[in-house]
Amino acid sequence: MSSEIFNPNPTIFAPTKSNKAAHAYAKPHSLWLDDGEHTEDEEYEQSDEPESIDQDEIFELIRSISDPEHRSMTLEQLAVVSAPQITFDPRHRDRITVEFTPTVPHCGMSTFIGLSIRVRLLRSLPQRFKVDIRVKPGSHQSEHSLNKQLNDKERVAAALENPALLEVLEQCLSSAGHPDHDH
Amino acid sequence: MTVMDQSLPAQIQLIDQLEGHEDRAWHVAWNPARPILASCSADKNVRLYSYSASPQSEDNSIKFTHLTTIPTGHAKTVRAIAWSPSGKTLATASFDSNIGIWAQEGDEENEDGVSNAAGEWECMSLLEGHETECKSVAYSSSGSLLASCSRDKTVWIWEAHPDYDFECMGAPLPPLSLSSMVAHLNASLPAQILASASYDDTIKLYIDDPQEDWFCFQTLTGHESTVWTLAFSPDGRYLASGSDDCTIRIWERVQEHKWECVSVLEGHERSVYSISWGRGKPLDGGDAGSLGWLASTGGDGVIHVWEMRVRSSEKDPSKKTISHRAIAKIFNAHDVHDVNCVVWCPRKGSEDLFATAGDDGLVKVWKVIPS
Repeated sequence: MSSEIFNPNPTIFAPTKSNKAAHAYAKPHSLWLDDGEHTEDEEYEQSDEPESIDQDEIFELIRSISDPEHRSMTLEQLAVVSAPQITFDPRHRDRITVEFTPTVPHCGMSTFIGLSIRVRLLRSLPQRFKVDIRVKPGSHQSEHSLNKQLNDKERVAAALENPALLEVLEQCLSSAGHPDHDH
Repeated sequence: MTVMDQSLPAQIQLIDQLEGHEDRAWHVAWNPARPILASCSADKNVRLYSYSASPQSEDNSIKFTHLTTIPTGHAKTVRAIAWSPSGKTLATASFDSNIGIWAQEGDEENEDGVSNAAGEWECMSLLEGHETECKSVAYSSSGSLLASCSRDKTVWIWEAHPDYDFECMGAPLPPLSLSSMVAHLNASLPAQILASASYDDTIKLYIDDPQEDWFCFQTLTGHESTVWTLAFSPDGRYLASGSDDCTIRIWERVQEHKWECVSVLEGHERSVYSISWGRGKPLDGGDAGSLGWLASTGGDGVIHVWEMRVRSSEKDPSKKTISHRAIAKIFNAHDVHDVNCVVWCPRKGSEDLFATAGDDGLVKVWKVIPS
């Protein structure tokens, strides 16, 4: 990781009202908060209909990820992520686009932030979900290459085999509500 | 659940499902000389299977048997594999930036090649030089050359000498534009052309100049995102490419060193990760105009099979045009998972057989049968 500071004084935003309903729902029924290897709630296992997951529930998964540059703050506090920036493909409810907003247009941490969102969702959502991650249009000077890298499955797979990167990633994800026990 | 498109002239039938990889399966390769199928995975293993190809198997009784698992010792994902034309040597391309060369000690011509293949496979050579993840390897038709490509934006050509001694030919190929990255490559057998597909949305074509080194004689543009995969037609006159822009483009060799895009195939909803162009088995009798079958797959989990034809133009019979027709399609081939690879079986009589590798760690073998 670079020691360069990209945004020394970020603006901090008050968190939106915690979505109690989604949170309360998510915790006990941990089907999609856990990896598939953990015991799953039978009630949900028996249903043929895949449970539908809404914007707030996806947001709940990523709002508490730590910012890699300001570890004590979450992506939500820095307004990097927000619920309205999560959209569903109208024809396929299991295809999601998560948009995020780097705090500054030259933010060198943006690929890392995008990767942390991707990994969080990869580990938490049922496997049927296909996730595209993009920076908000106009919010980053290297928007195109950033989007390309974040959605390149080879790059993501290779990044997750990099122990140094993975260590920082785990630290940023450890604040995201639910520790990941695997890997 | 796997769903079939019933309206098309052929169906895709699952022949066998090969389990055993503990992580995403990236690639499969049919041995060109022996009835062996190899697969590789993020679990760093290569798995070898034999299959019975009895000539009278009119039904779907082809059986796959696990022969052996090669723990490659690569430090990271084994992304791609390639058999040498003799079928005796297997090359592995790994994200640890190395290429492994695998063979069996004292492998001589032996009638009973398959049972031999269950024995120990050794790493005969480790080709180092790439700076970042190796993504693909390909042998030339003679087996005397091996090409490798990497995220470090270079293609290397290695000369294979006896005793598994590989020598890098000159500087890495050379120089690619800064934004480019080779994602996949394929060595064309008849045309002596090396093609590389790139992260910069282009395809580069190289030839071996007897006077000089290999050089890029054309850059093909048209795709709107990363080009993931390439396949030459069996006759070498066409090249197909699959991209993150969800399309497949067909390029024709219009002059000796000039290729042009002649067709765009649509139908995928996410990245096209793999295509394979085989001879196929014409559904309605022997068809001289048929250019074989093209199979494609990717992030949408769909497998398409297209019949490719070349026709004389009605206005000018000397002018030939290529056409395609969808003959079979299957959804959710690996359940909800991405399909990373599709490869036709090269074995005579089994041209309607193909294998796939998926993010679910499975390798599946399929057969195209008339509806």
